[in-house]
Amino acid sequence: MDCNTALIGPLFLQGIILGSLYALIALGYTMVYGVLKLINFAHDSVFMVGGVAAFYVFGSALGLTEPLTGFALIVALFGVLMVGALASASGATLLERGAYRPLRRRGGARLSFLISAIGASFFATYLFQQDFLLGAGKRQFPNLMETSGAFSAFGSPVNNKDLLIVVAVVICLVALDRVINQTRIGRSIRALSEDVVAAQLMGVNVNRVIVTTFLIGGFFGGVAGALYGVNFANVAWNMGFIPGVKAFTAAVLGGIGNIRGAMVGGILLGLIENMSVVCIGAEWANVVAFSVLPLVLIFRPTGLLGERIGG
Amino acid sequence: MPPDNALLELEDMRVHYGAIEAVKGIHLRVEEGEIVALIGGNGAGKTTTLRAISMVHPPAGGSVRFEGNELRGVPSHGVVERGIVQVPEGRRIFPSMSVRENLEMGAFQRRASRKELHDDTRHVFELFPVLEERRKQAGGTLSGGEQQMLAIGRALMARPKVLMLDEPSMGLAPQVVERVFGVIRNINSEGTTVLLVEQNAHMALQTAHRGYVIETGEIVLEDDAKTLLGNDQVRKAYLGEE
Repeated sequence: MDCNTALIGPLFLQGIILGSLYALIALGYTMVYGVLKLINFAHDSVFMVGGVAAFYVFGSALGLTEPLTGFALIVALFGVLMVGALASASGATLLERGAYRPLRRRGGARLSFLISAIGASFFATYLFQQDFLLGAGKRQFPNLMETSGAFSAFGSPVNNKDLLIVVAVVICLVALDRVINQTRIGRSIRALSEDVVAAQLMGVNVNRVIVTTFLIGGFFGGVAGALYGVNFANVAWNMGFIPGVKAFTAAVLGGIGNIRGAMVGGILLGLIENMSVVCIGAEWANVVAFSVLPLVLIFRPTGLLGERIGG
Repeated sequence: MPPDNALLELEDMRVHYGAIEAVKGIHLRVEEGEIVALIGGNGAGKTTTLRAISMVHPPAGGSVRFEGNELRGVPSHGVVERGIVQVPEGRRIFPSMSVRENLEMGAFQRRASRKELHDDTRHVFELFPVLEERRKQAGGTLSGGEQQMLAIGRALMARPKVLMLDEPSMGLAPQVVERVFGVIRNINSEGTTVLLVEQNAHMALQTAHRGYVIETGEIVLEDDAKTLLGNDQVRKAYLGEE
């Protein structure tokens, strides 16, 4: 095995940046699992919707083509992330009402929820493949920000897009941590994820908490979708698939149902994937990343931090 | 005919689990200020009855009236809002939340102010000083007796009009059972109506004003608690006497 040690620094950085994106998406999987014990496989479409909505508003509708600078850039970036977040949050609540709530009302079996999740994911993905929405190819995301170096870390340059991702993700994670541990709605989410019956007996409105959980998970998934657009300069109907499965893997790695676990799992998976490039080669990155899933399930089924939602 | 001033009244209430009828049309009445005991063996339908009243597993037929209003169709959180609060079987403490957070969960539906929360928590700590010592500890690390006290304290935080307790004596040492029932009497004397479900018929009937005996989903006896304690059938079936 030839290890290219010169790559360690830059790939370490890439790992953290990509990993924070995984972490942001993983929150949606882990929170929904916490309250419903359901793997929401349609969360990859929720993520995609965020990127696509930001593309519609800033690319198609506003027609921004020239990079912005200064205050205009900050406003535009904030707008992009908010449009993505709100679109995905709405998408996630629609998904809950359309694909899961009717099953809950009829007392559906665990397996039917899972099948419904997979069906909903394919439905949304192929819906956006249609020409009246996004079409089959990749679409170019408006180039709001000229890539430029921000500073150096680990002996390699960090550009402004990397910095944007890390800053946005950190803000999201801190905000979520506060919501979960310090607000009334956060407390009800924790209660529901620990004991549904006890939560009901405390007067928690189960349906409202569930939809709020989808909304919050969708919100962060949408921020991630918009960040993806800004960073990779394109969006596509199938853009959710790989990041979605990676984020799901990250959630399992950190301990599904555990919010801090999703954060840790995301960063760690980003690092594992990128560091594998140093010694094994870039074409193996996905193989290595996805082998994490069976390994965790065999050797540490509850993940690194265990199944527990709050702090 | 029962008087009209019942606070909580079940009429012909039936509860199904799939094809099985677990509660077969029971009548039960709780008046304001009373302690009513519902006693019976394992699987008789006691827990099912309480879950039905809380609308966690809503009844399939009959009626559940509280303060004269039908509760069927009301969601479980609406039942808590109206003032019926349950201490569930097995206590169901939130294991990773601290004692204080568990208590605050009890006041969840009230949207209590900081000050109210503080005062009510104080009150619970006065009833159960051990909870104050443990206030920062995770609920899951408490002993069975402490968890039972926490479960009762948590329910009191909701300021219930009717407090329903499901097997509060289960798995507890005799002295702890005595303590718990003492507290139940105190709570009642402070004005809270109590519906008590127990396998420990002796303790329950000594504490209650009136009692019902449930067997395989049907009420088979109903009387003053003292009379039930002296009833031959009850003595044989539930008090282990010949």
